[in-house]
Amino acid sequence: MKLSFDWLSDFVDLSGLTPQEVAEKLTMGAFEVEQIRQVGVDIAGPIVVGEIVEINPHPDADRIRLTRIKVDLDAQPLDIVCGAQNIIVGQRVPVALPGARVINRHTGAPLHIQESVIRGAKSCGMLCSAAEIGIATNEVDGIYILPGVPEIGEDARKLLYLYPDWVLDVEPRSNRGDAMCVAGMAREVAALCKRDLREPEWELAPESPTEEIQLRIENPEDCPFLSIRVIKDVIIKPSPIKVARRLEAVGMRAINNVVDATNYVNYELGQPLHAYDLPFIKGRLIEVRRGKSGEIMTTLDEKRQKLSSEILCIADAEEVIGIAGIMGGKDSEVGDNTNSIALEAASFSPVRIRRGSRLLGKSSEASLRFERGVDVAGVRKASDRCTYLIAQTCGATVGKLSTAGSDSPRSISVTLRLPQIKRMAGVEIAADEVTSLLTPLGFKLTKRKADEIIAEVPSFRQGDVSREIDLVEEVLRLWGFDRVEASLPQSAPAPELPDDTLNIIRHALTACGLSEAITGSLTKREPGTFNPEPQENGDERGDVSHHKSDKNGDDNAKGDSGSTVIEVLNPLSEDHQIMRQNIVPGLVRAVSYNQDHGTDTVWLFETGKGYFKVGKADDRHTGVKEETLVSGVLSGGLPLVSWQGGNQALDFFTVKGVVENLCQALRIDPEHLDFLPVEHPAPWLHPGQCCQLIVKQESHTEQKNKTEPKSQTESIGVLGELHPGIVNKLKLRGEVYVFELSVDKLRAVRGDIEYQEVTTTPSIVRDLTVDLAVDIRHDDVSRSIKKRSGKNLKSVELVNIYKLDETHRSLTYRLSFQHPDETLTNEEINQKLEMIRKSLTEDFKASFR
Amino acid sequence: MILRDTMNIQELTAQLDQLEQAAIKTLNSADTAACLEEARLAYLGAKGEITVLLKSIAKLDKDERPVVGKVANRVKEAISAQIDLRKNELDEQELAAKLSQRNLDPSLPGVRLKLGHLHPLTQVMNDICKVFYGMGFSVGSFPEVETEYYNFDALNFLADHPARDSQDTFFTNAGKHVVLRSHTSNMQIRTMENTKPPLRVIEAGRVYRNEEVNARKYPIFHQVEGLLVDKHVTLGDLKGTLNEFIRVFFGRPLKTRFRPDFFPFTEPSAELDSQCPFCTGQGCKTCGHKGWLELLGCGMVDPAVLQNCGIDPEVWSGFAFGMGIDRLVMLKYNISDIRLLFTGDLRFLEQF
Repeated sequence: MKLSFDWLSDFVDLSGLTPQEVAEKLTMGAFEVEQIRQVGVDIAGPIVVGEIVEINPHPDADRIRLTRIKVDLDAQPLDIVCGAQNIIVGQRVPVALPGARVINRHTGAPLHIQESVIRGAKSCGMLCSAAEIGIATNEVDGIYILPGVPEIGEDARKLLYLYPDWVLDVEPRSNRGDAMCVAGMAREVAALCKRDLREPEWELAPESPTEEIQLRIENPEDCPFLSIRVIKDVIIKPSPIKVARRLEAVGMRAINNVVDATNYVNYELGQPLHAYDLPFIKGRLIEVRRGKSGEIMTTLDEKRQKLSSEILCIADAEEVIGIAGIMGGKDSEVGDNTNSIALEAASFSPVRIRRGSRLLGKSSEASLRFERGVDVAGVRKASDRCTYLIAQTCGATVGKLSTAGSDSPRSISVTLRLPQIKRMAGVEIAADEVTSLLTPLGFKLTKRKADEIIAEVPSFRQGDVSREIDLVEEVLRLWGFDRVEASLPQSAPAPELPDDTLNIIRHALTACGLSEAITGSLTKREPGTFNPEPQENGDERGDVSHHKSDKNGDDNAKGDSGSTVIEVLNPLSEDHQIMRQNIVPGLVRAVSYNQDHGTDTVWLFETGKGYFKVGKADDRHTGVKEETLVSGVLSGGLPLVSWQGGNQALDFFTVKGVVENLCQALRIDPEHLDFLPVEHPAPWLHPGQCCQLIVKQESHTEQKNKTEPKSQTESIGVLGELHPGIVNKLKLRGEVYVFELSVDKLRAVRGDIEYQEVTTTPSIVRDLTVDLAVDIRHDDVSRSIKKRSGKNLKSVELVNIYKLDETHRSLTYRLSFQHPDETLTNEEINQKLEMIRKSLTEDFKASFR
Repeated sequence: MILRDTMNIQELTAQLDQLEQAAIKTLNSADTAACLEEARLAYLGAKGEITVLLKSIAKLDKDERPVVGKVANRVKEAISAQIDLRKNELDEQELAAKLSQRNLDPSLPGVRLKLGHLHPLTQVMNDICKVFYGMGFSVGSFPEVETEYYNFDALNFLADHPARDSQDTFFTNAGKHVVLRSHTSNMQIRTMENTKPPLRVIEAGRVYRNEEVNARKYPIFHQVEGLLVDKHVTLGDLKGTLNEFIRVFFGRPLKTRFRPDFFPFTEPSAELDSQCPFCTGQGCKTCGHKGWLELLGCGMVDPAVLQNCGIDPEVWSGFAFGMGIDRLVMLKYNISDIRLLFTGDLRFLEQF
């Protein structure tokens, strides 16, 4: 809200305060002032009304004349030298006396007036042109001749409203409708700066009987109080200079005396008003009612509005003539030929006005205030004030105020226990001080006990103050948050160590060369690429963690389509329609983005959530499972910096290596990892170049109970090549490899450090080359070797693969044996190797060379 | 050389001496380790001249053997010693040659696998959580898809509060009252429902608002929320805690000011401004020449909110605060467009 410093001073004594000081107080008192702008005219007195009593020629100069100007009825006229030619005796003009500061009409710089001698003639001041006192005018150069017969000696600045003014841009507060006006801000300033409130003096002309207009309120909840006053014999003309200046200062265009008066009072008292051209109100009825579907009306801004039962309207006997609290209608607009008006002042439900405003996409100075709540007890006063301002300009006939509904406020009293202030803020504020802080805001306070005060809440604050804590807040804010001394809370037990799984994963992946991306969790539907084409009973997601809702045995939990996908019902755009279930699509888009911008080697990962609708929602339960995932994408080559060559194409084993490193960082025993084929791979995986990661885990609880140690297996996620179809569709360069794992499941299988004593006995290393059919898996062979090797086998490492022919390959393993205490003999090792060969032959039809 | 039966001892000895001299000459002329090894094998190897000669001593007369053997051993030792000597010389030459290499261009790039980079949002959120962890806050994680009860009702939002409008909040098909959380404040209710006070919890997470995408706004962004409930917690404690956070996070104490504000779930409420850390309050582009930077919203937990969670507001009090992280990161690094945070652009990410 724009607040004029000058206007504010009508309601509160600001003497000695700068706009900056007031802005600082407001900012620290809950009303942030975003900027201060100077407006108006920066000139300084004394500049008074003077009458030209004599004009004589200068003895030595043709172009200048000697005048005698009366500026004080009780004193002799002053001699003033003047160069202008447009003056005649008897005119009244603005006279700048010695000490005044006006404007140099040529340069715009300040011009300081002092007694001087011009070409031998004494001059005791200056007759001012329009430009010299900051009035914009189209008239040719010359002294500004004052219209009418202003009193001699009167302050010309006051007469012409020539003041410097400052406009404070105040951030409105959503719960403080009462402060959306000059009078309301004045209360705040009075309380914060400890100044006295005051009121401009005015009195409404006596009311005369006029025609009656029947008022009707359809629903008092929408409109508790409605008032209409008929004003006749109105002459439409420009507003007085002061009204126009003030409206312009706060960014409103002056239109005419009637419209300006409604805007002026709205700004001043926070009560929106509307004037209808009386003859256009049909059937002598004004009704506040909901709109009807099919009704259409044209608002002042010449836009056609479709009405509905959600929108509150002002209607006459035939049709809607205004949208309540938002904007009047075009048909009944006050124009140059208007001579009688109906002035509406009412109180509308904030919710209703806000809904209407949102539905119509229209807000106004009126709706901004009604949305925040307007004081029902202030309606009559605002109507009177507006009527007064209109009558002042044209001497209109003022009708009686007709009303409907009730404007009597509720009575709300709140008890404030003083120790509560100490309890909340750690400061003690005495009862007397509390009283002096709250009284300027309109609270009526009575002391009940030594440490208890009862506050009667003024009608205009009942929207935001109804509890003790609200009063505590008011007291503290006025007393000054900044005066509350900073302290530290009492010490507390140490918190649990935070779960570091995510950070371990992030650091392991950055060490592998992947950079962390964050992509949108609210994303678009992509049937045909990442989402499968919609199909009945289709499992719409990838195979990362098996969140099939039918696992819950509750098909109704799913949406109509049987899908686990969470859709946003009011999406902003197609790009933000569904909650993601996989991170890979976002990362693949990032690959595309990077490739488009010239980066080919793109190694990215992201940790974040996937969202699955798995159950029914109620007030406290969403029926949604949020699973934390980690995904990665590798494209281009290795993130290698080398001028020695050596980069190599990526393949499945590059991404597998990254996943293995990640597992190592989480201390998951490699022996527990299994990379198995996926039965129904996600649509974004190459079906022949992917696998799932399985972690086998022994259930500890069962071991404790000495039941059978049971090995559990859990699918942690998937890894492999991105589906070449997607690569083609997105025009990506080269193969892309991806992985997506469940962090929640990885966390569950994290291991601990298991230290084994370093042995000093010599180890015996043997290579074993096994010829096998190509469909025999390495890990089956390796596992079989381990099984037959006994406890002295330290490690089995695959060191070479050689393709024999289309159906056979040869795997070379390096076996390392070591006994903790003894030196093993060749015979022992040969024996073991023989057993291994035998079992490999039996199990896999292996042969040896 | 073969010992002949006819050879007398003198001849034999002379021959050995000759052999010794020849060997020493050969050894001295060996200029590589390989040549030296070749020479060693020629004399002392299994079929070397000295070895063969020593073997043939057995054929001599019994009384002649010790005499010749003595000479032969002397020669053998002399050759061995010479080999060692020459080996040392060659080693030193080789070392000297190695050390004389001066053709390195150390400005050539190191050969390496590049490290990845952590996202600036992650780094800043981790830092913030660490500071509060140090002050006794445990780090939690809370749902992003949330019921209106936790996102609004229990936080004292009136039924018709503007934030509940579909223009502000995303509604979902998961249920009539299931929304995407519009702030991290749902953690307050979820924490207080599940944990008895005293409690201190902090969360960094994603939130969603139905806003048009532009350089400053994105429908997804990040917040950090903190909550502390205990006996005797005051506004002063809130100020002190946040002042400490600012001191540690920015690495130096900065002036702060608490401007009263309004939030439905705290009373009193305040905006915390910190002296702009980029110009230390002098006024710069980042702070809009105000010298102050609006950092976060905070306040004392509203008694109605405590009551909603079954906590007696006459016994317990608490404070809560929440801050936008994306804006903080953008200010910190002078990032002009919020969308850069979400594209995965490596030219952006690799700078962090």
